[in-house]
Amino acid sequence: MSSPADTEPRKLDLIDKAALNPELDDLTRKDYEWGFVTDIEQESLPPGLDEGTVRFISAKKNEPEWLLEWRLKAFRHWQTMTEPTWALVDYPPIDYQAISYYAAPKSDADKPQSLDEVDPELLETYEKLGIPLAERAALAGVAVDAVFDSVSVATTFKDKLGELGIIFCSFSEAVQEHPELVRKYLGSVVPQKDNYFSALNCAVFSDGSFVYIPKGVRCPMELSTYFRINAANTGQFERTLIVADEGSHVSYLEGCTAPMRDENQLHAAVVELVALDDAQIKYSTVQNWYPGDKNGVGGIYNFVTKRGACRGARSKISWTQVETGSAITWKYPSCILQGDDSVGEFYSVALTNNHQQADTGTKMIHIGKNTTSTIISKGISAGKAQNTYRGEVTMLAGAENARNYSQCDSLLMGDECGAHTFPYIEVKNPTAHLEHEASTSKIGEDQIFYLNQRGLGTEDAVNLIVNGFCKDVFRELPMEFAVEAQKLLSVSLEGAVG
Amino acid sequence: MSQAASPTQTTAPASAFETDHDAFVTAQPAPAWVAALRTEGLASFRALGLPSSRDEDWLYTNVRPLARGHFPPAPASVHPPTSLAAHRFALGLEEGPRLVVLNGRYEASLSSTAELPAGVHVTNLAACRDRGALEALGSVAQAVKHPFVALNQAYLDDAALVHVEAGTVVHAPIQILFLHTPTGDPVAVHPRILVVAEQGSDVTIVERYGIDCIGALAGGTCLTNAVSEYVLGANARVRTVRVQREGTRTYHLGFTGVRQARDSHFQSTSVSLGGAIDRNEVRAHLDAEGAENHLAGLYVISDEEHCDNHTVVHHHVPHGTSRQLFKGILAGQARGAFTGRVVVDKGAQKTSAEQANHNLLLSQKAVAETRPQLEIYADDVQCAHGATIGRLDVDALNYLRSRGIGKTEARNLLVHAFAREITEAAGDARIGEGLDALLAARLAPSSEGTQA
Repeated sequence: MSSPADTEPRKLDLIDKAALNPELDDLTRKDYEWGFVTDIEQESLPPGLDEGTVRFISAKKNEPEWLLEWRLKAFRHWQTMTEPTWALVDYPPIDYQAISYYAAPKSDADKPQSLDEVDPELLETYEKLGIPLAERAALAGVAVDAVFDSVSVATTFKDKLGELGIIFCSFSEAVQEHPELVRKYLGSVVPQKDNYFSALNCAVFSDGSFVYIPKGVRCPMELSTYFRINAANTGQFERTLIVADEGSHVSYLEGCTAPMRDENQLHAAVVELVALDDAQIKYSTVQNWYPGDKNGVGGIYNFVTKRGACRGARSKISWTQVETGSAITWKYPSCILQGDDSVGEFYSVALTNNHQQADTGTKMIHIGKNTTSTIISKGISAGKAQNTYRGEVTMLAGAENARNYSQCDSLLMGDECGAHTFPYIEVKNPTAHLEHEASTSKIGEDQIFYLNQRGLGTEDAVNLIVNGFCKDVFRELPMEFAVEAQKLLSVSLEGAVG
Repeated sequence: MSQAASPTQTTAPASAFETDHDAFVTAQPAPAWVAALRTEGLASFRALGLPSSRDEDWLYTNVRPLARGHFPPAPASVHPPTSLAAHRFALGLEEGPRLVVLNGRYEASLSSTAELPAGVHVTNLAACRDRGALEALGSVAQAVKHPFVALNQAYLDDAALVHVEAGTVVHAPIQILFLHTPTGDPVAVHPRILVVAEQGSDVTIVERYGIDCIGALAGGTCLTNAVSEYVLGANARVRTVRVQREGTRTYHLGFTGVRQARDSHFQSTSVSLGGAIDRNEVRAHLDAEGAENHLAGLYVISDEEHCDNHTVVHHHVPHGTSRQLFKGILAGQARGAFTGRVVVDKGAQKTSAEQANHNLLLSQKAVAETRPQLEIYADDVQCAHGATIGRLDVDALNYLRSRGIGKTEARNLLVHAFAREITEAAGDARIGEGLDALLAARLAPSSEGTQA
């Protein structure tokens, strides 16, 4: 039917492009800057997973009986589950027995009481990461709960927050000091049996952050957690639980890095948000796990379950994410809009380069009346990367006058990458109103040319265009993060335009 | 290529479709090459099994009723109708070239191929002695890839064949009618069409699926498992109109496979007017540069009916164009689903693809599901998709009512306007009018009880 000449791609185009922007290739090849390993004494479990592992972690954390039972229940269910295969990502099978499920800096037994007692080498790590942990925290006005491998290392600004009744501590601490709150909300948004990776997390989670904002309190500063996987062959399974009581308001930031290693490491976190009447939670993530090298060797598997429940009337949950790292990202921050007039938002920039794969998006489940949701997703794909938006909007029969607006745009740089859009939309109420728009296009050659003409180098031109493309999302980020995100984006993109 | 591309393997006990096969082969002997195709189809069906709703491609359509039920091949019609004129289904095309297949068998008395110009061969499979020009049969709709295509091939009996020679232009639409007589018991028919349009030819094909007596739309349970293959040569233009109106208790599974050569133009308009399960699949392959593919679809369903449109348009090479527009009108407790995927292969630069799905919910309990998907492996492309779900505009309704138009009439007027974009896309004015009339008939009875 078609002669070989017909099926031959137009090679001329490709050659021309490379000739046009020779420096672009160099741009994408910039190295991962956060790939250092901190040489501190680690205490970790040998690789392997059985009930003993779960019991060990629970005992190590000095957990109450109910939590151990809860973990075991999840573990037993996990054993009956199979790994999901529907995502558009490709990776060799994970050997769950080859992962170490617990790694902590050695000084766990006598945990530091203040920043002065923290291992200076550890502080140096955070210094390198550029998180404002110590004095810089005060300047930046950020309270940080830093999670190093699996254990929360230090939490700053605790006292100041305590005056307002805000609880911001590591998850282990919350289990000891606020068991009633943890028990009430743990697993109430993401049930143990929710999915393969969340079930695994329920069984073996080691630490994470816990936040409780009491009624009517507006948290005076941005709360922040920095995650880092340091030890080799470990998985990180942290758990974050944020509860915003009636009329409260909180903004939470999360950042992640990991050292460069040749083998893949698993990160399966669970984040649960609960917003009661009139409460607002803003959750921002800048994810920069090690993406693997240029040939796709190594990197983090980022299989994360994030979900927020707008339980109360007029509550609001807003997710903003900038995903530039990880070899594979599998992540769908979602909102369950239960309360009447509740609002869900999802703003995302997902950038993949080299051999990275991302299958990310959101779920908006409209249950209450007059609920509204907005989805803005910007996918940028370069090199040989695959970037997928997968999102679900469901409006149940009771969701009178529910509204959704979704916009998913993809930008392609290079002819070997892919950008995909898979929305799932289900409407069961005739008064609901829904719009979905998506577009895919390549970065405009004439735009680059225009900027070149005005004296901007190709690299700057690309950064300018990409930042413009992502503006709708960056606008939603807190200031410090927006700056970091822009920087990250330009680093990750270097050399991507062909 | 993509996730869940292959149906789930099942080790379930042999279904009735497999156990019925021996009796079918004995009752309907066929030439060796047809027998070989049947055997191959059955083997593929065995290997693939019936899909489950865990399969991404079958997420919105549950075919379990088919696995539970027993659908033996339909027996020959005892009293075939003598004329088609009485058909409400007539589309204004009582005259003109047509093939009529009744209960899976070609009805020479109702068919008419006399008026066709030279260069067009319209025939049925049973009339062909050897495979010859039928080389393409099974090449576009491949049994190994799809359980219901496999099933269709396993029960291959008679088929409608249209072969348009190079450069031939056929002005009159060629109608292919697949009718079945409702009986008390569930039966299955497996209609098959092969259209080969050679280089530079131009033809319109009207595929119609219905039952052979009036007023029996709520009649017996039937499974229609239709497969159509279209092979377009360079510069060929093929327009097809597909109308499904088999009644509320029918399980209709339709599969249309399209292969397009250089600069060919394929345009399809499908209209689904209800059924217990109605699934329409289109798999189009743009094999050479300059090919253009337009798919339009309308589904009008009510009560507990279910309609699922599922398309994959695959751009294999640069400079292809595809457009998809599907509209759903959903009343009662009906469930309408749309899954459309545009795949742009690596190297298929300068592709332009658009995809849209709009749904109108007319009742409290109707459900719309939509998945417009883009899977793109090339960078210099323009692809977009859009989806909307909503109800009738209250302001527009009030405007009409304040001018003395009754509630039902005003509503039908707006619904009709919504659907018009699709019926007009059929291209042929006569067919467009026929579709409008069908739509009006479909909307009339459902208008009570579904008032919002």
